[in-house]
Amino acid sequence: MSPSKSTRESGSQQTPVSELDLMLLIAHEIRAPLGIVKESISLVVDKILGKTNEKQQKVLLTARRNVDRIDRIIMNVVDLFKLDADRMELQKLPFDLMTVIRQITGFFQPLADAAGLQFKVVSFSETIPVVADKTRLANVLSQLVGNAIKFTEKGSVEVRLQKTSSGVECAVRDTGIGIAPENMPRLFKKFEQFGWVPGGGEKGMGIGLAVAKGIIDLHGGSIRAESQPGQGSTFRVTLP
Amino acid sequence: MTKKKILIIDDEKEMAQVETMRLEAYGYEVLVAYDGQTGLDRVRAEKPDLIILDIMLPTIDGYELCRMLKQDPECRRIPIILVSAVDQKFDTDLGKKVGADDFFTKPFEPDVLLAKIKELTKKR
Repeated sequence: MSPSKSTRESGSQQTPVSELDLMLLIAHEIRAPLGIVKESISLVVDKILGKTNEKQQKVLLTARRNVDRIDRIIMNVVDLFKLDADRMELQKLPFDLMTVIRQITGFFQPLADAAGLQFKVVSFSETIPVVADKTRLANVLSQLVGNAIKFTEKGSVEVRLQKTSSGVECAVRDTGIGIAPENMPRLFKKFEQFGWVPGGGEKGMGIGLAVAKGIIDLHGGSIRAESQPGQGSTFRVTLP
Repeated sequence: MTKKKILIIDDEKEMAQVETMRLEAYGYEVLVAYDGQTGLDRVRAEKPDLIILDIMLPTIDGYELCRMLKQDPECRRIPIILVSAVDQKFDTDLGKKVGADDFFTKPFEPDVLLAKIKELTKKR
């Protein structure tokens, strides 16, 4: 989407753009066509344009998953810059947290199946009304579930939603490689990476958890981890 | 039963095209306009059952167009979903003030959008 005409005309009078503004502009310009690519793939995957065979379906799902991956990287980098510049503004709206959980389940179930992992969601309620930045919260929870699947070779990944005295807790528990005690303090710091990915895969940039913490903190919630090396990890997100 | 008519007003032409394919597959008649003024003309001429309105548009922006339509006795009952790109700052207060019926961030989650369209077009 291009800036409106009036913005463009008044552009010459504006002060030079900051690095963050430039970053936001580039991100926006990349994400718009990426959105079109994703929706185009979805039209075929959802069989709206006709039947597909199993192999075509598999390839297109891979394509769509990787479009999401690019989008997630852009979003994380932008959010990291915004958090650093203290310019993150949340879009808080009321919504049902379970719709986000169901989307995440739909997205990760095939990955868990392919990895031979059991994946389940346990919730105290079918609907959980919350007021939060939906896109960003979905991104945080996807990050945690994605990490859990990535670092678990066998066993299970479980998302458990519980009511707390002040709000709701979402815990993501895995039976994966776990986190060494000496790495725990660095867990939510940016550009930190440790552990190996069983079976190979997306390594990432080590910013996902830093961004997740920044976003949950801004919501007035908390994010923390518990782990037993070799036994698994649990990440707990609480929202007020 | 006649098909319900949805008007998409979005200057991202190819996005509007893929959205059109999906909504047509869901059984809607879809009209498209690529700028605010054309959108306004089409609403007045076609009286759609629902409008999906992007906030950032040439000629008349989405908020202003929404305000104009909600003040027009002929068009005020048409539900309007205001839409922004995922990284745009969405001014929901302004959106509510200009009378938008709902807000969506692109790219749409198809099921959620469809449920909302059904709900908003049923009310009328």
